Amino acid sequence: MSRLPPFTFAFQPIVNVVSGAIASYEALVRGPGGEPARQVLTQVGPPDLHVLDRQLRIEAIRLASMLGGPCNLHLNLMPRSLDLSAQAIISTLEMAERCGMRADQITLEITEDEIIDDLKRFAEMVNTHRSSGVHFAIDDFGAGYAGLNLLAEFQPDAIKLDMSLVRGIESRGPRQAIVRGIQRTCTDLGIDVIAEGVETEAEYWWFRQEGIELFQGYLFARPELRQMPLAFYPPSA
Amino acid sequence: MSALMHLIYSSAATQVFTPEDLAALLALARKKNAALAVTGMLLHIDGSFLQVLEGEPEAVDSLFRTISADPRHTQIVTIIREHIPRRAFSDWSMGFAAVTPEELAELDGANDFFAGSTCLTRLNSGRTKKLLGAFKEGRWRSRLSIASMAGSAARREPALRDRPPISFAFQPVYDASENAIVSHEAVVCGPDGGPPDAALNQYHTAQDRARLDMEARVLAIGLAARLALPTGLTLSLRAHHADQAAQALRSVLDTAAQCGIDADRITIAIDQDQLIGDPIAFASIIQQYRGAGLKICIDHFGAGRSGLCQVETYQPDSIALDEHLVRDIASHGPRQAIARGIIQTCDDLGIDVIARHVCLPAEYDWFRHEGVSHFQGPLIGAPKFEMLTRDLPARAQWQP
Repeated sequence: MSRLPPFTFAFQPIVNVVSGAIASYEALVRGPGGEPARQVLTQVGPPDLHVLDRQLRIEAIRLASMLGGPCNLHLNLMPRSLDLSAQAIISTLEMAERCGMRADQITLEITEDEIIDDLKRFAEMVNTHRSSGVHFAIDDFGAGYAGLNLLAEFQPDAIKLDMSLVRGIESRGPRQAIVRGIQRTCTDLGIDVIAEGVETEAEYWWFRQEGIELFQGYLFARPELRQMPLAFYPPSA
Repeated sequence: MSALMHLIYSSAATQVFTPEDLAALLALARKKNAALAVTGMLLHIDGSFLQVLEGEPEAVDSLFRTISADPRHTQIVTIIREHIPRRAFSDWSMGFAAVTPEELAELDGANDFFAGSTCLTRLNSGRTKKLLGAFKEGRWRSRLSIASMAGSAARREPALRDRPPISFAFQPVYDASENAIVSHEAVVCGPDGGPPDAALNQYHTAQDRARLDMEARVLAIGLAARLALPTGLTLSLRAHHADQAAQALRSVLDTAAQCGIDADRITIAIDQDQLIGDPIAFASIIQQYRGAGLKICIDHFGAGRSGLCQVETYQPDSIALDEHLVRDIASHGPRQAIARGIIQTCDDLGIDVIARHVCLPAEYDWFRHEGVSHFQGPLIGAPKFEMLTRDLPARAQWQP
């Protein structure tokens, strides 16, 4: 097996503003000095990418359990890894167990564009792992072409609204209408909606007014290298 | 054609506006707007504003930037920004109405909303379009002169080639709220009404097929005109390149004018799954021709590349739900949830939703119950070879 590049993680909270608790931490891969994720991922060629992908989740769990007590974790998953072997998920869950975490404390995030090529097959693969209790979320929802269509075949536990839909929402009519449509569908299907990349109080208030409870973004906390940061809660409007 | 657009926004006043304040504001606005050739109207109710600005894009955008920076109002939300074929308020450098919610509630189309005394900052585009429609049709009819529609061109049909390799069947689109056939979609078929495959297979090169595709819409318009089409006409456009789309839409406009069919009776149903190249360039071509009066429908909505984010890119007049979302919807939970989400977004934006390929009464009933009024499919009427559908669907057969 080839050598993997050095990496570490930054953690960013996902907050539930109704309960006032941190719902989970997303583990974001970084270079050892805090370099952006791209710098780590581009050092590896396609054949080894799934090896790196699997190792990233294992190390993220290890680091998280060293840093803090019990918490929930959001970890990224490349769907290609699923194609290659079911080990992609099993290895993650084994590591969680070794660190004293339950499977239902783990949410695996997959981006919309990566799923859409072979949706049915993906849905089958993922659903076989759901009995373990592990959660699935679709990342960057609304950025790609698919959007709601995806949810006909595969219903995740949560979706994270793409930043492009969040930015400046308080003053963009069509964007508001799109988010309301997404929210309507997700409510009907029992899917949590997370507003990601929220940076201003105006954005936050708009989503609060629409009933969104889960948030992630600079307004609440920035990602911190090898730390589990606390979150700031904006005053209610 | 010089490009026109309108921008509609709502906002909330940060200070109390006396009638004198408003008069001063309007006097200044009218002077500025006249210089910029911007027309429009301003509504004021209880401290909230709704303003329509129409004119050339640069003028409207730059004026809106200035307006946005004005500290006398806040919560500025752009509700609609789109190309338009003609001005709705051409006589007004800035029409103004200070109205009460009660007065607004008397307007057809707006009453369902304003009966609750809701303020203008809670308006969405769907309501706004209804509201402006009501103003144009009713309240201000005596004071507004809407430019008469162009259409003086003599009626003549384009010369059809002796034996075109293809012909068309026409399938009705039914609007349940008006109980009327509102459009016919031209479906390509062979010259004898059979499948078009044999005819299409004669075209081997991509270039030949592109030429046929271009001619197809011209033929369809000519045929519809000969049949004295009383409804709208829906033509599909499967684009590969943005420049191809521009050429196709130009030919549609020219042919329609020659045949005496107004551009706004024609709906272009866009199928973009084979689009190559820059989607933004393609969308901007579409927007431009929408400005010339053509109506735009996104076809196969809810499948492949056609998702919700495209309503922001294209700002279509309608979307046609993909067959797989319609099929068996009455018993399929996830499809229902998705359709409700799409309907919600489209309602907010004033976009018509068309349920296509409706085969079963249960499918029809489900969509009707969710407020969808446009239907197409075997249940409504099959495509008829070189014929239009004049009879309304036999609703009694499936309506409870």
